[in-house]
Amino acid sequence: MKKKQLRRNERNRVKALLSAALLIPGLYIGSVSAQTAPSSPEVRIGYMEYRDAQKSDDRMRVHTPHAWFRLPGFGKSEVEGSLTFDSMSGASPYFLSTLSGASGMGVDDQRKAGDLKYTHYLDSFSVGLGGAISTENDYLSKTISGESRIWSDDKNTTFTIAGSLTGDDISSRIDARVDEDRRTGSVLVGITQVIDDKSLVQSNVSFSSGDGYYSDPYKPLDNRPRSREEWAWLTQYRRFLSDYDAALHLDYRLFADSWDVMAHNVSVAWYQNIGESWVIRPSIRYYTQSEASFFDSEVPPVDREKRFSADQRLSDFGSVTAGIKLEYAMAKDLSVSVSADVMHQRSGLAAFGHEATDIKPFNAAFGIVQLIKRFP
Amino acid sequence: MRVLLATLLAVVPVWAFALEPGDQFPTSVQLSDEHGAKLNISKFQTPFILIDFWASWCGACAKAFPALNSLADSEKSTLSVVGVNVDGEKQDALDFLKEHRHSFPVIFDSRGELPDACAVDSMPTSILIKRSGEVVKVFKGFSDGDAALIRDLVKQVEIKAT
Amino acid sequence: MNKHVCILILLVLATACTPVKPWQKGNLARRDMAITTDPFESNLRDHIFDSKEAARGGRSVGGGGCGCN
Repeated sequence: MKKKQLRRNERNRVKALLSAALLIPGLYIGSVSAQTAPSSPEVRIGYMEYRDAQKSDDRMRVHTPHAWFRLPGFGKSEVEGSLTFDSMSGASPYFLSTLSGASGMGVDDQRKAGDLKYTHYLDSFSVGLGGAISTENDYLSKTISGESRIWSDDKNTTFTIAGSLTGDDISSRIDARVDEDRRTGSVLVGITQVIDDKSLVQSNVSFSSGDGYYSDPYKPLDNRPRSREEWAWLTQYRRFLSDYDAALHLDYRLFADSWDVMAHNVSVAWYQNIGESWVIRPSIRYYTQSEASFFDSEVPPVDREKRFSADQRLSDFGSVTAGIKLEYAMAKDLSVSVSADVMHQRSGLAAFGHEATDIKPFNAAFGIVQLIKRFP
Repeated sequence: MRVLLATLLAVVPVWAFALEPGDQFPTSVQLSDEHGAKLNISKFQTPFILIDFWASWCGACAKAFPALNSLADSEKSTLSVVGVNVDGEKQDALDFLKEHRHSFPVIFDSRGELPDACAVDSMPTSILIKRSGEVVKVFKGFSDGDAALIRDLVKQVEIKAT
Repeated sequence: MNKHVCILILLVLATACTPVKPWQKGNLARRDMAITTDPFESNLRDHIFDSKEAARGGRSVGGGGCGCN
């Protein structure tokens, strides 16, 4: 009975950490776009509801209000930023060790994050500087980043170079001895190329190198390497099909890191315009990854110095995410959009690697509602 | 790294040279206005003519309209403003014009003959020419500052004439 | 070595395109043709995937603010 309880505690902690991680708002300094001049100003507010489950009786719920904006700055420049406040509810494992019999006790936790980027546009290039911060009880992350875009005379080709530095401070709610940090530097280079008057492609390669604490503080046996190098190559293709009054989006990313993880993901989305005011967008994404070299779902190493993790996110698995989005223009400059996605993740869906029968399939569903205000 | 940059720059296509002050504007190109009537730039009688290339999908072009309107309204005797629309679909341009006040005539060039002849290399582009067709100045994007510049240029001609 | 090959491939692809004139870019300027049509949604989506999966990156830099190791 006690063993089962301990096992469940461990799983709950993993789930809580996963959810906590989920709640930590993404520090998005803004994606690389094809724009060569300030885009039209825009403000978006809304929220996301997220739920996941691994066993029928485990449910984690996250409610994330979010805001994003892009507004003109001085002269030919723009400011882009976002704010996230999220709250998580569900069984909290954090207090199980200190509050006996507290399983099932609901906990409300808040995460806050914000990011800001200032971009100045000149005739043939742009320069941007950004910062981001994310905070929660056991985690603090700070990032500074810079980006420059250079475009050809005819603006059909754009080169992007960007870099960032991140400092993370990690602690643990259940173990005061955990007082760790991690420093990560990353760089990105990319090309955006107009193919013809109806299609374009963007391809970016990013490299990231980090040193410090990577383990999960809520898993005493988790012992990950103290460094990680990651490579990602993302290619995004856009094509307008005038016969259908629709746009096709095709994305492919290849990922590899120094932990021996290799991953691919492919996404397809179809933006179907209906009349003047509606857009419906079905989408599907397939993801597959191979396990980290130190992953083991069963037996932790006898040698406590050896690298080890049983974190499911480092195992072999594949996932499929399918979704649909509907956007309606209530007025020329005001729109509302609603989307819903479901994700199914399990080891059997992996394109390579072996099927691990002891890792339960993971399911998640999330919905996003937002209001979009555009300015002339 | 330097080799990479050099390679990257080498593949970037060099654009054909755009019109420079002193060049001759292709005044022979004939295009239709909103009512279908053929309009030729050489028909304008004012000493100066401002040709503005715009499209409904070009946000910066829309932003230039107020400055163009104020110029067209105030400098009637010395300056003619004409908008050249380059939308692939004329209806898109007509829809745009319904929503945006324009106190200057608009002609439609969906095949892009005129911007091609002028080697336009960015949107929006405005070209100020003398009645003779000689290019005075090319503006990329059009702000109130540019409008003030044109007013000054035009007034110099007025002073000379009197 | 492999990375250099990748960059070269991209360069070759870049030169193989028909140059589009500025006034012909109407379709490319459409909202549904943007690389990121919805930054609000992609912020949230990317974050979900980054915290559930081992892979991340490629879209932008500086997205490391996650306690998901």
